[in-house]
Amino acid sequence: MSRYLYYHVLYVGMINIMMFVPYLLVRDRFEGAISGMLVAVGISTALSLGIVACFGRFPGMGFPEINDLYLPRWLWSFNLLFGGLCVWLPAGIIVIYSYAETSRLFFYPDMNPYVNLFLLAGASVWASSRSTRTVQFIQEIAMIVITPMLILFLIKAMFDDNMDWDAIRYVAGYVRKPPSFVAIASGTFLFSGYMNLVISNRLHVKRIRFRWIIPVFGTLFLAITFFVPIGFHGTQGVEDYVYLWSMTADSMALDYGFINRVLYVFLLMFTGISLLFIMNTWHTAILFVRYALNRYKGVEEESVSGLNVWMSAAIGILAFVYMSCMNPERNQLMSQLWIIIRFFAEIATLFLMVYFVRKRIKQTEKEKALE
Amino acid sequence: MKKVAFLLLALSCCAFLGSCGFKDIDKRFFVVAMGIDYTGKTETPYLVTLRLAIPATKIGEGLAESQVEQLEAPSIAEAVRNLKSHVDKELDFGQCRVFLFGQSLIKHSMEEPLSWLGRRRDIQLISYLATAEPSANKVLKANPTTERIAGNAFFLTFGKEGTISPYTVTEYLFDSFRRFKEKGLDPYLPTIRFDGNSYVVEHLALLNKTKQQLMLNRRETLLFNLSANAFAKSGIAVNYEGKRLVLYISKVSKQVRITKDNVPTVHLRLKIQGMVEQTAVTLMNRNIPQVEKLLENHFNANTERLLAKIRDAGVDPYGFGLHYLAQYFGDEQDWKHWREVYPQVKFDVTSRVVIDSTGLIR
Amino acid sequence: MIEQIRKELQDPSDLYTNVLDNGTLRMELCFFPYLCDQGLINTELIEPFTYRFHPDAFNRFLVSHPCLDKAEDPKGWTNLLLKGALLFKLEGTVYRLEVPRKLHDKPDSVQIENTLQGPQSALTEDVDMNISLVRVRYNEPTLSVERHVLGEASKSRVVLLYDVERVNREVLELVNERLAQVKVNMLRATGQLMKELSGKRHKLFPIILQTERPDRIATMIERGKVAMLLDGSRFGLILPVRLFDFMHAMDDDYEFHWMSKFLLILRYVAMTLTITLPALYIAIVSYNPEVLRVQLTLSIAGSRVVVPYPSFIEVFIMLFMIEALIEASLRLPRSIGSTATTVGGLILGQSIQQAGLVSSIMIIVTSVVAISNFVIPNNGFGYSIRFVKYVFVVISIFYGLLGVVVLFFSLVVYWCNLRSFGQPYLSFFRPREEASVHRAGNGANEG
Repeated sequence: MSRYLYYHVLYVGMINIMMFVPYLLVRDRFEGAISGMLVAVGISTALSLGIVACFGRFPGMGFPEINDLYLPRWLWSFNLLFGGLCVWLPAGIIVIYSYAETSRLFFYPDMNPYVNLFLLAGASVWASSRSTRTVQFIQEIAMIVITPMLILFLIKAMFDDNMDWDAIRYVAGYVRKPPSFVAIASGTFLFSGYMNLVISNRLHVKRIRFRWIIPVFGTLFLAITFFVPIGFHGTQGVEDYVYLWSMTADSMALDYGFINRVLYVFLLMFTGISLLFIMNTWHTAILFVRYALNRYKGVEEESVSGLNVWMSAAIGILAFVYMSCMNPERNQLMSQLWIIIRFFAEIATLFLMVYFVRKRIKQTEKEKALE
Repeated sequence: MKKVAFLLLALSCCAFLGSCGFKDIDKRFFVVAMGIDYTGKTETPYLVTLRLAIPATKIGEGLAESQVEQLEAPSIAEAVRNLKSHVDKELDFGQCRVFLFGQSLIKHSMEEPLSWLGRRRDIQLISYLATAEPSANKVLKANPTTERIAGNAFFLTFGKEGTISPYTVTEYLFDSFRRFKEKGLDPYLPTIRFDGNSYVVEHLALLNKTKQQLMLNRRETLLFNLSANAFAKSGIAVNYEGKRLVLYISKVSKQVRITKDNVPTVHLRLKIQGMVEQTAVTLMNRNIPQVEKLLENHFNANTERLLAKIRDAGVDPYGFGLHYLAQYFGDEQDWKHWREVYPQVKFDVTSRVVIDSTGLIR
Repeated sequence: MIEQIRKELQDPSDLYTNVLDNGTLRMELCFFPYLCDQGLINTELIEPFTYRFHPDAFNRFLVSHPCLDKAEDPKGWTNLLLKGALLFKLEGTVYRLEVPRKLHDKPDSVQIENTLQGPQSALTEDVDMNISLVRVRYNEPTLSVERHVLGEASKSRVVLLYDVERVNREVLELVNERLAQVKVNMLRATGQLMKELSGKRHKLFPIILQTERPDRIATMIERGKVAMLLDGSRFGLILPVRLFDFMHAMDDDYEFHWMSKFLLILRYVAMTLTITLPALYIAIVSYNPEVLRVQLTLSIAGSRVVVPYPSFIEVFIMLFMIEALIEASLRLPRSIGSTATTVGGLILGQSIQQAGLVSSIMIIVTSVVAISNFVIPNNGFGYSIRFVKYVFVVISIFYGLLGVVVLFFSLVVYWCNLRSFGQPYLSFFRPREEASVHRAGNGANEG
């Protein structure tokens, strides 16, 4: 079912806020963020459509199995371990740290950060150790619960009277600057929901339709994530905020309703989105490692294997370790580093997949010739 | 054995409740409004006044009880911390939506109060800001007669849920943060005073990046609100055939264009639609264009005078500078140019008044 | 024969034995008069025996009668007798005649799953009657009826009903496998069977639907599910089920479309409320009062001013009260039941608030929780929901609002992770073919 892919696209498009992408973009707003974003849209469109098309050639197969088909053991093991431990795993850990800190700041600043992390990590560990199919179902239900809040929030953000369109226009004028690399790398992150195909392609046996959704949504989210804070905080004030989007959400008021501050709608929504993201990244990391260990490629386990549970528990402990050596500034640096690594990993994935597809085409031709 | 261990775990969890920030609602004092005044003393320049809501079991007209605490201190943060020892419950700023600054403060400098507001995590960015006449302390000590919930009169006055007055310019905290920083856009604050039984908001203070430069009167405030914020539900009046004619405005749209001359001209275009609310003259179809013309001229002249006055005070609450940059996708160079020529900028206001109806009678 | 049976059964006083002679034939017969329908015995056996003197004629009758059969194995005799059969011996051959007494000869009326304008008939405690109730509603030749006998002592008859063409084969296999594993001495109620079939003991939510409505069973069979009936229980089991099935009332199929859709949404809202409201009360009162708008916060604060202990104790007191009230009104005879509600609900509710032991907002919360809980159409699911709300209360004591939201996410994870006989418990509609692909792809997926 195509729709499962687009849930990934949707929440990854939103999660950039926890990855400090708005901060990175806004920092470069006068030094090539706009042109960088435009380049990012181009690169991402090519990357996403290319990778989705390549996976379409291998229906029902995940990235690990495809690797296994055409590469020697040491190489695919390296690919999987690197992908799992250096790309997917840190993503979840960075997000769980930033969301734990954000939520603690606004919900209960007096609480011990580890106690708060324990709550989020517990839920994520449990969710990520489930089977792939369960993870997919969770995705759908959670997205359906979140969507009303998301729509409310986006409408609030885009059509608020207090948005200053002059500021947006003024910043947009800086499109003439040469693109900055960080802006390109972080801009492409908003599109990368399709990367979840590396595991969830095991569940996709039919052609994925409506692929235009990926670039369209990515571009939309990119525009929102960058311009809305500028519209609310001005071209100068915008750089003062550490938690940029939380403050932007706090600048909107719900005049009618139980809740007055949109900030809380935003935080509740992001609880869901962050947990989804963490669940998916950790789940992918676990399955990559599992394939490297024993070539496991099932999507359904009625009682979850102990390996899953132990690995995700280990990841949960890693999150605590990460929290103990990080502070918000260092976390920002880490996320920047991660965004750049991910950017190259994505390009590498495209090349690998194109190579596999060519191999496969040759193979089928040979088989035909033999017949 | 397992069950005993579980029970022990549960009990130890209860013991560490304290570290989770568990605090019941009745153990908190909600600050509903905060006032900051400048005393002028070097030792304790800031006078902080807090209005605390006292939760009451009975709710009724005039029953809203509140407690006012005040303290002078070298800084706002210290004042707030010291005030904690004056009350028996935890101070909670989470519901504080009104911040008042005394006249003395905005004539001095807004820097410190803004930095305190920006750093506190529990301050809502959608709080209302205002200046208080004669001082924040006096206004907060006053008790409106019809208030049912402490502080509610403030929320209703400034917010959109209660009264909507053309003289009340609502200013949010985040908007102030923006205006205090932005290029070519300057802050303003509405002025609130107490007239014996209720709050009156009808003047507007215009500030540059640090302090007050100009105070608009009633008429100018209305005109500003109409021309800068395109605020409908307003009215303009003119003398027609010796009688007063008042137009109720139901719809306004505004458009700004700035020429890129050496000394730019700001073209402000407004389209005002409305209906005649009061006049002693019988209006037939043929005099309506005449009335419209009269209103237009009157409005244009007044607005141009207001714009010139604001320009001469050296502030730009309309954001013409930012609009100039946006319109021409300007850069640092353009901004420098604009700042140099702003004192000479020319204004051209053209308005189109459309009378939709003359009310229920001619 | 008679001696042997008497000996095996330790000579019970309610066994009737006799030797009849109509002049040409001699017949030994025995049966339990209270287990058998005596009128039937008269018309089906005694009358022909008395009037058909010719042995041939009587033999033809023996061969052609539908309820008559030979019972050659002496070991089964006592069992047959206890099931309500009559045994007779004629010229050295033992025959049995099935004449069990029918306690129920018309459908029961609905008691739990009421509908306004739907059918009012419910299952009875007689399994044959129930099968006919289902057959009447699902009149297809493909309906298959499979019999099993479970229970060491009770030897209860369990009947599986499904549509051969529509049923999911895997589910059926799994059901048969689990049925074979059931080890139970006395099988009295479907609830027991449900527990035995569900596998793990500690499941929080039912994965089998229990219903008393034959029309629900028929609809579910039409959707390819398996129904299970137990003799002596007026409830049927349906499996596999999804969460949505528990929230579905039969009225939804019978009433005006938009209204029933609206009611469906209302039920989900009510479920969310009943789970989260007490927890949210604690979270708002003790952790995050700034979430609500100021006017509301101040009125909650006002109502709590007089309460001398922390919010969660207040919540536990009120939840305990309401649970006790529900339990009491369930167990009490109907005539006293209303007294309990009056005393508990009205008098206690009012005075506990006046005494300042509980805030008035908490009373509202409690009532909303109780009422919303009753909106859930299925009793078993309602029980689970009733339990789950305590988990939410506990987490909100430690984590406030965020805890509630994260736990709700975890609840979704739990639901999605559950499988009812291999089928997902909570997921949106999946076309059949896709489901089959997943099954085939399980474990060994080769492109």
